[in-house]
Amino acid sequence: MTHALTVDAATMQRRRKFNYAPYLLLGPTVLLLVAFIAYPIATVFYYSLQHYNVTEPWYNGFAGLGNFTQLLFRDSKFWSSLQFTAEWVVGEVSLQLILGLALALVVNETFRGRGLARAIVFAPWAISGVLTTEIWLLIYNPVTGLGKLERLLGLGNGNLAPLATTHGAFLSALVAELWRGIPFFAILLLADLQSVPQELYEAARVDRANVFHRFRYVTLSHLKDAIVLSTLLRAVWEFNNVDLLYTLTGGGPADSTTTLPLYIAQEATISHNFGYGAALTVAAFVILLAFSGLYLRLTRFGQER
Amino acid sequence: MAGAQGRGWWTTRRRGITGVTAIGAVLLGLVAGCSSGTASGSGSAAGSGGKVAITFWDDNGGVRTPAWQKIISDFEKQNPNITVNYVGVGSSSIEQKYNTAIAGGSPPDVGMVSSQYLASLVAQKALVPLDSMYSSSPLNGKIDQAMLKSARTDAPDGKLYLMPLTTTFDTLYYRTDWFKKAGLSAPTTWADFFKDAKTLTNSGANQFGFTLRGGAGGTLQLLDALLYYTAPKSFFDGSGQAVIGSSQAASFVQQMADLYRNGETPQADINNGYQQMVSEFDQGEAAMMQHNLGSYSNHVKALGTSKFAGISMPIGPSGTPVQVFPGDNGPAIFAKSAHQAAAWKFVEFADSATENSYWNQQAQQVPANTDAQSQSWVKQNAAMENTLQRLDAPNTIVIEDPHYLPEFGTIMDVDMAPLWQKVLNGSMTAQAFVTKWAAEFTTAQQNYKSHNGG
Repeated sequence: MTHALTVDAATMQRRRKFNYAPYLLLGPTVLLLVAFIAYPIATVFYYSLQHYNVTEPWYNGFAGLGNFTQLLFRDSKFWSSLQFTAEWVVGEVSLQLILGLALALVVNETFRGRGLARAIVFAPWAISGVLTTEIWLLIYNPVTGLGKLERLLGLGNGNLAPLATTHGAFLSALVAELWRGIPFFAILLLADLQSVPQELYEAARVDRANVFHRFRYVTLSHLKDAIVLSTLLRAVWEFNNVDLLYTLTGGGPADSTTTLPLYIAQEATISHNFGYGAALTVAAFVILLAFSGLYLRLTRFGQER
Repeated sequence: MAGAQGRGWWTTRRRGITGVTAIGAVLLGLVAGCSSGTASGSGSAAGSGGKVAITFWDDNGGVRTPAWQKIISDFEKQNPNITVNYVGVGSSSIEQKYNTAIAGGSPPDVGMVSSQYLASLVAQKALVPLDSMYSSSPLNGKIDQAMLKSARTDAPDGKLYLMPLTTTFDTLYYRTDWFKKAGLSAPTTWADFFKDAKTLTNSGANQFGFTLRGGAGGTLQLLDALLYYTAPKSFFDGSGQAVIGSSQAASFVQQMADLYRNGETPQADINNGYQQMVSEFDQGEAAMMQHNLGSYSNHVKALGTSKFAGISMPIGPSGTPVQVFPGDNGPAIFAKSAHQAAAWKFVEFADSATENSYWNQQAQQVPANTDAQSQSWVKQNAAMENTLQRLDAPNTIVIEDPHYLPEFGTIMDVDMAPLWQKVLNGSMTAQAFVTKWAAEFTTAQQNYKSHNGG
């Protein structure tokens, strides 16, 4: 009897000691994550296995892997949009990195007007994608932009329209997005540049390292993790870029600037084919997941040298 | 002492738990508040005293907002127990907004709907048939028969879901001053049109014979132009094949593409949507433009009434005049509405002669109410008068695009729009283009018939 009372008291003590507070604190966050992230993602996976087109309800129902076999084997637009997405991501991220790093190195130096120079370099990052598009649309517009300049300078009749050709549209969109994206790298890399220990440069100079060697073995070496992380983030963002391309080129002309997310948007907003759109979204998700994992592994992100 | 510490610990913990619970309650309250807000968004009873609030979605918010606000104000004066909550939605996103609202279970009570996506809303069982309400209404017999027929044709089951309020017809706008200066008369045939476009082009002076819509909405204009040129009696022949794949159709598409490729339209036109195209015409860069009556007031603002005119679309080689019926635009009542009687009262009011005339005068479009059609302002708009005369002519072929096909939007905007740009930039032949276009429509028609009979 005494033993039983002792056990009960111990159990009660354990129960009293169980700390509910962390769970209650985390509870609302977990609920919100489930409601606004886990549930929508699960819904996309669910619909990717369905025929679901609001305009053709007679076809709605379980599709199995039908949507996936269609996109893999019968949908040339999936492959062409994926190819353009790859070109877009590689072109944008590599140019933004190179030019952003160059600007970061410049504004890291000490010179008069550095504050103003930094403000000018970083300003485009504060501008939304749609507003960026409006600015560049005015520049590319034959009446208000380059065409007008061409006419004023007497170089032509003002009929210059950079967005009218497939190559022109790609280059024009590339430049507009570079203008917005370069500051992202410049800001991140400048922050990391300021933490490079000066002793390393001094030691390199003692070892007679030239400017290139100091840049290669001290600066770049120090920036490696920042570069890997920022390029990965930017690659994912550029992959998912819809605002600028949608408003600047609409994916044209002739689908030449249609990325995979733009194609998905078309399937949802014009065709109302949500089942197939969900399958395309799952494909994009898997591609990004595989790319991210592979990229971090190949670059040995976070590993000590 | 230990007991005191324990009580302190418990008190602290209790306060912590209370705090967490309070935060949780606030968050849940927020979420609950959001959801209840959504539920009431479809227009529930407004307050007490038997007053009813209905939600009305305008499909051209901004442009048509002042006209609707005046009509709503008049309506609320006559019907003090009904409040109309106006929501202006942009024309480019209205279909998407309707689909989202239907999926979320909170569509408006009544909304402006176009023929172009009527079939999609009917397929979702989102709308209420209006046949019985119309037949017992004072409006019965006062609505244009052609518009009523079109509204019924565009629904898969042939019922009346969209109450016609207005329509607008294709119009060829041209610069009268340029034509006069060049000694040309109005282009009434396609042969004249192509010849005049060439004559009036002076690319060195940044002046072009035509402004072409190669971007958003371009295939719809091209399809209509093709029908005016080829003058078929119906869109599908007796065997169910779409008639737009002929060599004559290909020849027309090639001639339109040649306008672009020969520099008789601005180079930027391959991406032109509505705004860019209208802006080119209004800024004096183009001698001709194909659009509808809806842009008439824009041209008056930019050019005045003396420098341009609007006429019916040119006549093709057969010499037979054609009028493509563009479908209707008008209010529809949503099945989820808890106040369908109040919503119908509003529809009736908007379609009454006075209000219908007012709305269409503001928009410079064709009223659905036949009493409104006889108002003097209709006769003052030469472009509209010209089109109405063609509609009344005995030898005119009246034809309508197959808006009722669920794939209509996909065929026009997703599949064919990029290919039209390929024809313009020379990477696809006109014949391959029209053949594919016809094949897609033929397949869509077969699918439609297999599921809807007929």
